[in-house]
Amino acid sequence: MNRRFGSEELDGSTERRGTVAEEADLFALGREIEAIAASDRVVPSQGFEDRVLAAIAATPLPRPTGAAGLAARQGRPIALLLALRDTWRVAWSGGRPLAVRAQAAAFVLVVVLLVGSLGGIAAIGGFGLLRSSPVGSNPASFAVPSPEPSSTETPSSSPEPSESSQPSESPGASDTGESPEPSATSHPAAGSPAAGSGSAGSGSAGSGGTPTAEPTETATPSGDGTQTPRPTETPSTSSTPSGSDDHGGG
Amino acid sequence: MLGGDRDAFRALVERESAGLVRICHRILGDLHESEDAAQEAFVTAFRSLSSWRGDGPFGAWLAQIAVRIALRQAARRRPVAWIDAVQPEASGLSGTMTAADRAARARLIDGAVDGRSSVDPASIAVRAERTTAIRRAVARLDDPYREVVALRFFGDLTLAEIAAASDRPLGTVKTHLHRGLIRLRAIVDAEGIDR
Repeated sequence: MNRRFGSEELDGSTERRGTVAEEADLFALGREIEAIAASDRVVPSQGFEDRVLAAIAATPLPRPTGAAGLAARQGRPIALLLALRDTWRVAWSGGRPLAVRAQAAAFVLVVVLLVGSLGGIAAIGGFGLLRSSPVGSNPASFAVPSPEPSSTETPSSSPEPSESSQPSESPGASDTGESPEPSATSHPAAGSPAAGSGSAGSGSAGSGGTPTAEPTETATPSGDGTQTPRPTETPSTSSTPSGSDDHGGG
Repeated sequence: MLGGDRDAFRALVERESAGLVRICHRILGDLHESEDAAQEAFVTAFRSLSSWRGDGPFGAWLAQIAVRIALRQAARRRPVAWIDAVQPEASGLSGTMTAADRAARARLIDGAVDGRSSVDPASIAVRAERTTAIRRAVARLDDPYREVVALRFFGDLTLAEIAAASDRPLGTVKTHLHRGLIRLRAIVDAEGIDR
């Protein structure tokens, strides 16, 4: 019966293997414990089996539901779950009398029905709470914040960027007091037509405030606050020096 | 028997009682305590027949119950300090032994382990002391390692049987055995039980 302790019994262990001397020391210890166990040849005393059978006779018959009931009475949920697992195993595994398996199956069925009914009651109660809550005021409260984003759009369309572009173009029209804004808008208009309007613009630039068409163009940006912030027009103003060079050259 | 038939359980008691008492005696070292532990193991097994999975030998399951009960009983013991009339230094059984005493003591234990046990009273005394110390050291191990070491060496179970009885993977059982032996060696060394 006694098996010799061998090194193959520690193969596959995740513990770090020690040195050869340490491993030999462990094996020596194992062999020593084996020798201690082998030297023990004690036999039970007379009447031991009768005492055991008398104790078993005083023990109630094993019931698969006994452990679960005991765990439930003692308030140990883990032991209760383990007992339910054992009861399930007794109910559906072979090798046991039919009466024991039927008792275990009935207990499992009762537990399943109990858990299912409690869960159903909890679900119905939760659903009833959700339905009984007032519904009317909440959507209105959500509609209130919607104007706030619209108010945030108005600062974004502020004409301030157009005003910041005006000082950059003011040196070109520094002679006239009214002209800074019209002169800024006149250069994009002059840049888009290729040659004919450019010649007219050059005459106006040289003479000063005589051209009449340029103030009319300034009126449209000032009237439409939304057109002035266009950044696409400011690059065209940067092309005005080239136009002035052309005029200077011609 | 799984249905609670007492007559069938009687046959089981007659077949397993000697082995179960021996397993408990290897842990406890006292016959009366071992019989009490074995009887408690039989009663516990009879009450818990529904929890036996049937995927291993019934004797292994019974041995596991007996080992747990015996280890619990051994852990409840109070350490008893025997007062010897002879001074420990003079008897050479203390931790302050000389190298020659240690060598002689190791020869005595090696002779006992190899089966060359003599009838020399000194040899018997040293072996008994060593046996008691190792039993005590096994009982002082932590829980997963203590059970695996006791089942392997005192219960004479294979590692596969231990894995099936304790519902653990075989690799885990091997790791527990390895760590248990390492810790057992540390306990034995710390108690000054030199060979």
